[in-house]
Amino acid sequence: MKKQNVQIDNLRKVLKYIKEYRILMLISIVLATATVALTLYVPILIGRAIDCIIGPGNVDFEAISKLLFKIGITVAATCTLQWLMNHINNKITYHVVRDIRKKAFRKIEILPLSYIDAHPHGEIVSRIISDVDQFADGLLMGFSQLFTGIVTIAATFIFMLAINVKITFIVVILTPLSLSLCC
Amino acid sequence: MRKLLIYLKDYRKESILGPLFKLLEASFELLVPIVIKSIVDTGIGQANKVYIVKMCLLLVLLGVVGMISSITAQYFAAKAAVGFATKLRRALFKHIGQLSYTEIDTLGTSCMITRMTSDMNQVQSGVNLTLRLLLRSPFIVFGSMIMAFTVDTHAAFTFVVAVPALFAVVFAIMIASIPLYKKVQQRLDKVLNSTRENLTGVRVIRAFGLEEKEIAEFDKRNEELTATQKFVGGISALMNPLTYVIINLAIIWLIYIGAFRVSTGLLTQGAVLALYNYMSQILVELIKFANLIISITKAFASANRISAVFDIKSSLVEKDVMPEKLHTEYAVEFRNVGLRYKNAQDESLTNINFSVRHGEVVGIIGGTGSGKSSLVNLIPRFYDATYGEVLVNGINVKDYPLIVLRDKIGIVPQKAVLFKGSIRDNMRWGKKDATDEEIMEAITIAQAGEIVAQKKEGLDFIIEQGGKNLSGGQRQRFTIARALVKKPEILILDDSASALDFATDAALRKALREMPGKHTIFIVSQRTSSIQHADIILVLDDGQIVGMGKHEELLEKCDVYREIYDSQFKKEAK
Repeated sequence: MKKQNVQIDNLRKVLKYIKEYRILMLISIVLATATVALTLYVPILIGRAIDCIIGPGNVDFEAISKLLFKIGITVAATCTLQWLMNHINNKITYHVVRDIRKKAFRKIEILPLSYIDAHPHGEIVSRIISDVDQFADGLLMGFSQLFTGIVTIAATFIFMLAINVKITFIVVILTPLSLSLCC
Repeated sequence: MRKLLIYLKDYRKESILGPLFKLLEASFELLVPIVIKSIVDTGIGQANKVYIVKMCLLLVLLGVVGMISSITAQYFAAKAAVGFATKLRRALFKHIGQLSYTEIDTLGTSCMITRMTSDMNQVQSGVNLTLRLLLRSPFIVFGSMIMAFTVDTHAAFTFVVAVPALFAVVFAIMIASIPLYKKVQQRLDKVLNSTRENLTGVRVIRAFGLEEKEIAEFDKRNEELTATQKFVGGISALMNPLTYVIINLAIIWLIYIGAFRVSTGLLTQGAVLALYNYMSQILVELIKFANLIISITKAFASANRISAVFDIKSSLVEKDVMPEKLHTEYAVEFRNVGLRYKNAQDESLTNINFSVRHGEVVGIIGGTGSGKSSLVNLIPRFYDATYGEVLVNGINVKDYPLIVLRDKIGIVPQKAVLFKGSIRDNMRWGKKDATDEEIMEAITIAQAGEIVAQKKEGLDFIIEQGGKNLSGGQRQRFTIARALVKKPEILILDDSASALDFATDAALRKALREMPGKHTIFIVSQRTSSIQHADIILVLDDGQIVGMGKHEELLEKCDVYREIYDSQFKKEAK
C-alpha cells in the first residue's frame, strides 16, 4: 500500500516535468492517431485499386488513376505527419531529460555533505546519467510506442470490421497464434 | 570482438543450424504470395471451391511448417547465445579474479559489474539476434525480388529500382548517424564528468563558492548534449517516412503498369496482388533490419568494452613453481620497500625496513593515511611493491605461486565483509573441510563464542547479505574467526578490532597469543592500547617508519608515538 503511494507520488513528480510540454504531447498524440489511420487507409485504397483490375479488357483505368492519385496524396501526408511526429517526440524526450538533469545537478550543489559522503559517487552519477536515460527511453518512447500500438490495433479492428465481420473474428482468434511466429 | 568469438566455437553446430532453419522459414514465407495468387486467379477466378480449400490448407501447412522451423531456429540460436554468454561470463569472472588490486582500483567495481551484467546481456542478445535475423532480412528482401521475377519480369524491374533505393536510404542514415551516436556518447561523458567532479570535489567547490560557475558549465555541456541528441534524432526520424514513401511509390507504379498488363492479358489480377504482397514484405523486413543493425551496433560496443577488460593484464606476474624451502629466523622482512599507487603522485610508503621473527606479535600504529593498510597489503601481495623486496619466510613474495603465499596468510580487512549463508559456510572460506570443532575453536579465540551460543541455530544461523543482521563488533569477530580457521602462519588484523570494546579487545589479544603453534601476528590499529604489548611496534607517519621498538622504548624516544599515546591515554583516563 505504502509502496503504491510512493509510486503514484513519483509518477506525479515525473508528470510535472512533462507538463511543460503538454501542448507538444497533445500534438504528438493527434499526429500519432492521424498517422496510424492514414497508414491503415493505404492498404484499403490499394485493395480497391487491385479490385478494379479484373482481367483482359476488364480494367477500370479511370477509377484506378483516381485511386492511385489518392494513394499518392495519403502516402505523402502520412510521411509528413510521421516525420513531424518523430521530431516532436524527440524534442519532448531530450528536453525532459535535459530538464531533469539540470534540476538534479542544481540539487547536487545544495545536497548536504553527509548525503554525498554516505552515498557512493558512482551511484549518484549513475542516477543522473543512465537512470535518466533509461527513464526517457522507457517512459516516453514506451508511451509513444504503446499509444501507436493501441491505436493501430483498434483502428485495424474497425477497418477490418468495416470490410467483413466474419473474417475479422477469424483473424482475432488466430492472431495470438501468429504472435509466436513473428518473433 | 573477434577474440570473444572463440567462446562461440563449441556452438558451431547451433550457429549454423539456427540461421539455416530461419532461412527455411523465410522460404516458406516467400511462397505465401504465390499461393494467394493461385487462390485469386484459379480459385476465385474460376469459382473453384475445392481448389480454394486445398490452397487454404496448403497455406495452413506452410504456416505450421514455418512455425516449426522458426521455433527450431529460435532454439538453436538461444542455445548458442546463452551458452556463449555463460562461457564468456565465466571467463571474464575468472579474469577479474586474477587481476591485482591495482587494476581493480583503476577499473572500479561498478564498471566491472556493468561489464558482467548489462554488457554481457547486450552481447548475448546481439548473438541471438545475429544468428536468427541477420541473414533472414536480406534473404527475404532479395528473395521477394527474385520471386517477383518469376511472377512477371517486366514488373519485377520496379523491385530492381526500389530495393537499392531503400538500401541506400537505410545505409545513408546509418552511416550518418553512427558517428553521431559516438559524439552523443562523448558529450554524455562530459556531462558525466561534470557530475562526478562536483561530487568528488564538493568541498572545494563549496569552499570557494564556485557553485554558480559549475552550474553554468554543466548547463552548457547539457545543452550541447541535447543539441547533438536532437540532431541525430532528426536524422533517424527520416528513416521511417522515407522508406515508407519509396515502397508506396513502387506499389503505385506496380499497380499502374499491372493495370496495363492485365488489360492486355499479359498478367492476372492475382499476379498484381502477389507483386504487391512481395513489395509489402520488403518494407516489413527493412524495418526489422534497421532495428537489428542498431541492436547489433550496441552489442558490438558492449563486446568491445568486455574485450577491453580482457585486455587488462594483471600486473602480478605469478610464478607457478614452488620456491625452495628456506629456514630463516624471519617470518616477514621488508627490505627498503616503497609503494606508489598507480596514478598517484606521492609515495604511500617510503623506504620501509623491518624484520619480524616467527611467532612475534607486530603492532603497527599511525594516523589515518599514514600507510598502515598499504604496508600490510604488501604481505599477501595484494599490491606489488614499487621498489624493494618483501620477503615471507626468507623468500620474495613475487617468487611464490599466489595460492601458496596466500594460504600461509590470514588477513582480516578493515571492512568486515561477511557473505549470505550460515555461520558455518562463512567460516569455511579459509578451509573448505573445516570441522565444527575447528570452527568453534577459531570462533572462541575470536571472542565470538558467546554470539554463537546465543543463537538457537548455532553454527546454522543464517547471516544476511553483508552481515546486516549482526552488529559491527559481531561482524568483526566473525571475520577474525574466519581468518583463524585455516590456522595461518601469518595473521594480519588490519584495524579489525576497532568496533570491539577494550575488554573484548584485550581478551582477543590474549587468546591470540595463547594460540597453539607459532603464529606471526600483525595488529594494525589506531589505539595504543591494542598494540602496546606487541613484541615490536612500528610507528608510521606519512608512509615512513618514524619509530620501531617496544612500548617503553618508543614512549621515551619517539615523539609521534608519545603524542598518540598521550592523546589517547588522557582521553581514556577521563
